[in-house]
Amino acid sequence: MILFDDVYKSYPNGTNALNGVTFQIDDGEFVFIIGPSGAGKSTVIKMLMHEEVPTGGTVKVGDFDIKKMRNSKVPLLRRSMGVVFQDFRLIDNLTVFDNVAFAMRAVGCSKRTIRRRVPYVLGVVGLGHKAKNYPPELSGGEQQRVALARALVNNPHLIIADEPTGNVDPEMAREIMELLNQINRNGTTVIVVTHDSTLVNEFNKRVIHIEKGRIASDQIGKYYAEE
Amino acid sequence: MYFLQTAFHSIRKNYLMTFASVFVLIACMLIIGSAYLCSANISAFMDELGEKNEIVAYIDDGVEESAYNELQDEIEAIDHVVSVVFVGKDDALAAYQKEFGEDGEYLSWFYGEENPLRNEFRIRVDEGHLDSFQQVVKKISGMEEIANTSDSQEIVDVLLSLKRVMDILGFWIMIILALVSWFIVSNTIKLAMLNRRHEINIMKYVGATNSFIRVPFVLEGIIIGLIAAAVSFGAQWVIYVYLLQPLVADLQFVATVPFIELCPVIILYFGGIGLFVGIFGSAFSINKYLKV
Repeated sequence: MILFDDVYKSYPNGTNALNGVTFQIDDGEFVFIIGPSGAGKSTVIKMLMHEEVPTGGTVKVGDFDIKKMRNSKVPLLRRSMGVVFQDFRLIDNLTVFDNVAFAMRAVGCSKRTIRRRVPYVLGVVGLGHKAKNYPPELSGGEQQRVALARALVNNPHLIIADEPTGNVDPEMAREIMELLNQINRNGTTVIVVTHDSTLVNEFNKRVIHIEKGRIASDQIGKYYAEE
Repeated sequence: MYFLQTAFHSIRKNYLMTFASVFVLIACMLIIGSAYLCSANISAFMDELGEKNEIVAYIDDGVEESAYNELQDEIEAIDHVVSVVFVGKDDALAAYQKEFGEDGEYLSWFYGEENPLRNEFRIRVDEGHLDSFQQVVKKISGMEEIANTSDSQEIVDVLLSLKRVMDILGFWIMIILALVSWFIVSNTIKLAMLNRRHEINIMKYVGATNSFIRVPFVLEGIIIGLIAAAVSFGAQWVIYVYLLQPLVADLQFVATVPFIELCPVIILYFGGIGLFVGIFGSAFSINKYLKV
């Protein structure tokens, strides 16, 4: 469960990124977070990963209290989630297999587990045949699916996708969204930050709309749901 | 295994900077090693001189040979003198001749009347009372029948002050060079981090701990340090055996310490410096990049 309770965030330069944001996301939910640039979406995501800490209020991710937790526990928090970024963040000189395996090595998995798990996850995202390719040889949509495989490989409870369709063509975007939807159906909580109104409208999920650091609306349905 | 692979990969990618740091480390190690070798040789030489414990008293030419026995008794009576041996001037010349080998042949012209040497007594002082060595020397040189004396104490004193200067100088050179190598190695590692900051960033996001991220870089530092230590050891050996020892051998009167005897300390120095600079140079340079 994710809980934002009256969360404020102001930066030393005086910007107030969040002004009293409150929402709760239960286990197994699929949620879109939408809003214009600079509305505070990224800050929300960064707080979930403990990249930023709230200046006021409480943020809870599972058992972790983001504001109070010790720095040494941050790796544990991050292992409980998988993150997908708009720019994929793959390592160009590692193969697709190694890019995914990298996430498992980083948390100390055994070679045997890695050899069994990576092909399985690549199969899930439909890239089993590209295991030996390098990221620059792949299309944007394929790269994003590698990133998704990497996010999934450690079996997280939560997937955070930050503009996952921002750099891929519309058809691929739908496929990726479909994939996320499927992952969600298997019980994983999915949070997608996006600008893509078409996709949001199509999938008919819960939509949290953030504007100027506040929740503008929070309901099931369309991109700019009527108030 | 994964850590080592990563470290070697980074070394290959960064070979210029790696080469530079290995080179600087080698230079530092060689200077430190050479300073140590010099100092060790000086102390060995001093020990050798000290062990001689011998005063040579040259008998005045005006003294009749019949008086020699009486003179010997007189010297033997001095406190702490354990032995007095008479060496005739022809014997002394023969000893010189032997020491110079073939070159000493021309010395044979000087036997008999032409011999420029003096008859002498070789005197040893009780090992337990070497502190009164100088007193004995004073008493003997004060005797009327003795023209002059020679002993190795003066050379020992000069060498001692030389060694003291070398030790102090060596210490500071070592400190400064250690700092320089630290700086170079930590910059190399920083560059390696910079090359891999993208990877490190991703590692942080997937939940790698800081120590996990740090290990390959510390390994890289250790590898650099150990390579430098190994190369320096080889170079030091060559310099010592093929350059320094032949040079000193020309001076004839000094024997150098064999490299085998000094190499454990050299290994300890080089390995220690390599490991220390490698580990700490890398471990501290990483911290900045781990805050994500």
